[in-house]
Amino acid sequence: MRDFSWRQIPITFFFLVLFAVPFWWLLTIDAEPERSMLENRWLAEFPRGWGAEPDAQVQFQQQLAAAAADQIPFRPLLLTIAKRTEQSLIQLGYAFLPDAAIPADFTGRYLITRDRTMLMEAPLTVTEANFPMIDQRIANYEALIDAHPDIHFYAYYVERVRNASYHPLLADYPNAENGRGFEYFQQHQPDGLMLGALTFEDISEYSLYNYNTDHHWNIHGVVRAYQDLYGMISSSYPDIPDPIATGNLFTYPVDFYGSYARLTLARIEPDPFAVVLFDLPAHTEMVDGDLRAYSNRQHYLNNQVPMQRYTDHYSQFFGGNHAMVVFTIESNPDRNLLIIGNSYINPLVSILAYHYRTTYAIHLEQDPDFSFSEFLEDHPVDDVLVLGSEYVVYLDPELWNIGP
Amino acid sequence: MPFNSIHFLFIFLPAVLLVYFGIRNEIWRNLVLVVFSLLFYAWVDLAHLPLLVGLVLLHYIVGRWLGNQIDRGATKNSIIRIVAAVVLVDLLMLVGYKYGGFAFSWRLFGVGDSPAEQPFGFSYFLLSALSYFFDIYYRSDRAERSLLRFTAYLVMFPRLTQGPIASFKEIRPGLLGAKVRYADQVEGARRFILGLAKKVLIADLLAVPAERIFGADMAALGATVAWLGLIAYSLQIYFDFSGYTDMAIGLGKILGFNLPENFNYPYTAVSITDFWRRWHMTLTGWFRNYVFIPLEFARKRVKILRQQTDILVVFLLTGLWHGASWNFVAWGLYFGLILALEVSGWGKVLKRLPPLLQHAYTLGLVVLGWSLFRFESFDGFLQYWQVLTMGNGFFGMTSLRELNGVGYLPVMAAALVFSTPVVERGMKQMTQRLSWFQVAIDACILGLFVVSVAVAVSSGFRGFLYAQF
Repeated sequence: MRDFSWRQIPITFFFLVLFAVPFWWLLTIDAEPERSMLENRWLAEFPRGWGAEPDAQVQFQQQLAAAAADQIPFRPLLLTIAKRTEQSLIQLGYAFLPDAAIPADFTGRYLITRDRTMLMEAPLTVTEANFPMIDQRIANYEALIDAHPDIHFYAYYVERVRNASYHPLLADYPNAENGRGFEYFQQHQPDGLMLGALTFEDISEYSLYNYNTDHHWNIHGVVRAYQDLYGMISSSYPDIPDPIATGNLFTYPVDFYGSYARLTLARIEPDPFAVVLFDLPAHTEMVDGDLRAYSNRQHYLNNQVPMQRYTDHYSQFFGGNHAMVVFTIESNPDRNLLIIGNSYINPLVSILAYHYRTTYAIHLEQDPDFSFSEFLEDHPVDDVLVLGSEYVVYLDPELWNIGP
Repeated sequence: MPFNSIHFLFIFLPAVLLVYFGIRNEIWRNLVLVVFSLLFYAWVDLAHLPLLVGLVLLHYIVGRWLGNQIDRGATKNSIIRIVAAVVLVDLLMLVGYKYGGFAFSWRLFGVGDSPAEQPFGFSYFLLSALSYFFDIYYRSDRAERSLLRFTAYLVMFPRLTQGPIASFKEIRPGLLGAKVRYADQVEGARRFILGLAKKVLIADLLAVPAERIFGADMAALGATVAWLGLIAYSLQIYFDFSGYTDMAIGLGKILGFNLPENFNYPYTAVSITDFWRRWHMTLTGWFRNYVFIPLEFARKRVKILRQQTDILVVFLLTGLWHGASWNFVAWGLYFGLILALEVSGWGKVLKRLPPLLQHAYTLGLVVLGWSLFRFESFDGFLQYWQVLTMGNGFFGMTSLRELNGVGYLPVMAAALVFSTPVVERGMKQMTQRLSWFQVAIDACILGLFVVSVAVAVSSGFRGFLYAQF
């Protein structure tokens, strides 16, 4: 090091970093597994040995590569630097363009409005192949209705910006769905299916009923849907208990950054996190066959609120996606409900359960082999509600085709 | 284990440096280099490691034999026979692995099994091995006595998989234990980080719009977007390969080796002849020294179109070296024909044109050439050409926005600037004037390292385009 000069200090720092990182790993090799809130997954750990499987080498390499990236010191800071770099480049690229919304990161999956008030998806593009897919779903509903004339079938569509006719970038997406998919479904709506929808006139109305940092509806959207659904169901369920009073809203003092904000690390104002406070009568909750609480609602009510940034309050308070969730209220009239849907159903399960003896909630993503007739053998139901966004209600003829 | 992966940067590299510089003895250092290089190879291609080791031994033994024959004053014919045997074996290996399916039924008739997979970095390994024999044959180098040094030369990890193709005499000083100055290591680190940034922050980012555009529905694509896609790909391939080369040269410097340069701002060339003096210089140098010049010499009595046909042969081989598919052959012939035209008088006309036209001519032809390089299927190539030549009009149905390509335009602009020597020259001038300026530059380079690591952690790492060759 006789030829060392002060001018070489920055690059010397590079060499120090090269050695400091593995040294840090050696010091923390026995640390507990860590969960990444940003990516909602457990971080990979360094492999402890070489397995005996035929592809042991490949597994070892993949695990080592994943662990090196996951266990790097200051990882959240590095991820933020990467996203900020992407966002700066995107802003520069769009500097002279009039677009109302620009990509929130290089994945291009999410857009952010120029005034940084809302994150959304790019318009969903459709081709002619989409309409035969909708026809298949209509045929699926018809088959279910024909096979089970004693059951009332309801569908409730929740519009997302990507499907809507008010998406700010429609002009740049000539193949955008632009509301056409649901319109087609409505026009060819099967007889015997009661159809409702939460749709909006424009983006500002959408913003009232949905989070700005997440694709889900907020409590106002949930309440509006509940009121719609109550009206729809009560027409065939005369002795339905009175509706829940939905005016008792409580806003938690937390910053809710939804999944779009979490995945893009976009600089955006957080959403308020509000809920309806109501008391469910004595009941039991069962999740995937286990008798346990569906959500951490009680923790929140006890003021045990997780405060970390990017906490997913939506799934923490309302519950996550499971193959089957069952609410049973023995004191209610003998009427059972089956809800099939995606994460939009989570806040509604406990609210709708208020009116039924037994309420089943099925997420087909968690149970893709679900068979309706097999389910009915052990779980008699009176009402079936299919609820969610476009692929749940009318578009996806594969996963969301309800198996007869 | 790509150089841009986190596990290379923070596990393999520190381990190599720690052990390598923990030892002062040159023999042990070479042993460490060989062991780590074989580990590096085993990581990417364990199955072919025995073959690699076998080939090293074979070349070493035959090299020693050749050296002994020359020292003993053997006849020219017996020396030629040894060299020819080595060339034949290496070519057979290359043909067997790389072109197994080309000459036979597999691709042509769609029958039979696929050929055995090519060992990783095989073409680079064989060209280095052949250059060693040719140099001995031409008496520009001598056979190496130390098996350890010879092995270290052929398998050293910085250049094992993608070059630069260096001759033994270029590597020997480092293997003989030349003093490694810290200033050289700092210079090597600078070069390595800049290469990493070129790869992660330019090539890998530009790969995204290029892939999206090439993968888009051709019927809906307009000429503007298609041209942007081709330009993005042209920049991607340059920054990918030159980024790798910078990292290899930087690693070499850190370890005490001077690897040859491979690029000299090729997109600023004023003719295709000039371009090939600046692009993949070690490969063109190899073909010039060991194919073109011997061909010229062997055919010196041919008076008509000798140079032109020799150029065509060299570029046909260059194309074939890249792979056994029509597009590489066509790409090689495309440049061979242009070069043949340039040596036939067109080059002289070109020189009289304004510099701007010379640059435009060269860039236009090079970028169009990359479209041949990119498409393995002839149909795909033709479809893309239709779009490029306004077959779907100026603007198609699919916009750059829809392909999420607008955000990459600043990267493309930066890549265009960095593909010229403007920045490097400016920095050199400033450093000469202000002594502290180098520290400021180094701080920026360190910043680039952090951002590159951040992007690699966030987006994962992509392999290098030229690793497939």
